[in-house]
Amino acid sequence: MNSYKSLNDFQLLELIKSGDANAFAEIYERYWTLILHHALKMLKDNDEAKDLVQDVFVTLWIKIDQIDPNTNIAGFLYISTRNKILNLIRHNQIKTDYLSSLANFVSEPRNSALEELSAKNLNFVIEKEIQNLPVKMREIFELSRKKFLSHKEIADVLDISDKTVKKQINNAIRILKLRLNILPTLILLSSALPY
Amino acid sequence: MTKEEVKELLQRYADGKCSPQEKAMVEHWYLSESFKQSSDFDTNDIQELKFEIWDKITQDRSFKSNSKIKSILLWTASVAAVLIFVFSLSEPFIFNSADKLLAKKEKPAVFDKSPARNKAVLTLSDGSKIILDDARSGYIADQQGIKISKSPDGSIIYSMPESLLGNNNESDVVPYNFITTPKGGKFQIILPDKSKIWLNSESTLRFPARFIGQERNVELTGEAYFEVAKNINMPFIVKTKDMSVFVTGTEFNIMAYSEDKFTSTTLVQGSVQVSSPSQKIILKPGEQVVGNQTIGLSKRDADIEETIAWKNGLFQFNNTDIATVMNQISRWYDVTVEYEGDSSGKRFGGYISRDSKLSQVLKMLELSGVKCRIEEKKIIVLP
Repeated sequence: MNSYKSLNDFQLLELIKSGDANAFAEIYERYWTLILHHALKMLKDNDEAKDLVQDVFVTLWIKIDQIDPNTNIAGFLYISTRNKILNLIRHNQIKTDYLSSLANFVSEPRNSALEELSAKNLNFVIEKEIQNLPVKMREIFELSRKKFLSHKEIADVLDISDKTVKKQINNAIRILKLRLNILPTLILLSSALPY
Repeated sequence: MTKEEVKELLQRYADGKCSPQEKAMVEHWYLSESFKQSSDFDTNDIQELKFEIWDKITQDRSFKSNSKIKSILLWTASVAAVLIFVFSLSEPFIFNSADKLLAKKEKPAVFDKSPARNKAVLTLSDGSKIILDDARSGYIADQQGIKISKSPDGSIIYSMPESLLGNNNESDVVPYNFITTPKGGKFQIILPDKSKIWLNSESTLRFPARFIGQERNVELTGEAYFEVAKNINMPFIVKTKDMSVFVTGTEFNIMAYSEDKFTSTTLVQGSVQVSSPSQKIILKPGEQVVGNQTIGLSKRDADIEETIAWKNGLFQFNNTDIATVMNQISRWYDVTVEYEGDSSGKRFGGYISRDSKLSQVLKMLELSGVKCRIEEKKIIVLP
């Protein structure tokens, strides 16, 4: 039997559209840790973060018929997560005082060029840049980013030393930083790295 | 700006009524804010969390109410632990340690199965069927002067007498033959052009007894590994339900089981062109094409070891879902697999010889947290 893990996100999206639960499970497998980690960072509450991950994937399932087949799923999930968190912020349901932070931000003078890039674009750019990394580096980076493995586990899987893994991940981040030339974009990446 | 104004800004954002500047501002603030924050939680709990959240998703009313999914959910309802068992390659006899670990728990085996053997049915152009196994070797049949025989190592060999060499008369009607392996069977065949093909369990290859004309055409259902003899003037083409593979001389693996929703072709050596009616993709060694007409074909770096493990006599898995694992076991040992309850979406990694008995393979799975019960010709995966 051909394994679903060999399909790319766009192919999985097509299969989910036809009601394939295995394809949906594979997307969950790929992205749940990214979303959980991000939600935890913003919400600082385990239960709320878990509910949010659930909400995001249920939304993906419900809205699947409306999603364009060319949608980048990683981007869709990120935006969906962000919008749900912004909603919680609006209703002041988060421990951190984000409302004040946003109020200050709005009043600060800032570089307007940066703001031209929406998060959606950034996410797309990041995905593309990861695909352009050298093969071995990308393999390690994706194992760490998507599979949520520790350096030690990656080292075992790929039969290399954990020092090499660490070096490769740092190299990957450095290359991405250089290529993207925008620090905040690395939020998505650094949030997914094992600690 | 006051908090109330910020709330209004966020409300406009949620309603899609922000100006582009406001929208960019909110998103940029969000990014920089999330960059400042950090989180930590106990990674030991991570697998359990994955279970817990997945269960909640699949139990959600709007998820359940979707009728499309009900039937499939039974066997994928739970994505469980990612079980990475990496066995050192320097220790091929992993079962020594596994046996010791399990020695205390082991119950007397009531039922066991031997691994797949050389077993296949050859169907000649007149419809006559020849059962192939290890027992006989030597001459089998004749097809328009092509001699079919079986070598002692278990391969079927189509050999062309010298009198037919160079005879490439396209008006000749060439007899087509089939070779079909059952569940629990495998076979090797050497075609008249000296291309060698390894056929995995439950697979069928349709081929002409002799290649004439411009192309060497064969058709595959199931899985096979091809070592195609080089002939630049006469490309070798494998047709499957989802893609065609065009080569001149090379080594590659195709998995095209009829019940799978998609097909994969993995190139080991040389170069191949894979095509569907709407796409053409050229592969380099180490690359794989996967997909079908509906979802399209995509190219990726393949896990060559895992892909051709079967040809090298191994089961090899790398974070592979349990359905894929059990499917291979089912074919190789000629057993059916059933899932009891919700807990079958587990991931599995590791390898074991395909010469192992079924009980040994199940022991290894159990060691990795996948429990099974065996009934006659049936494996029941327990939650």
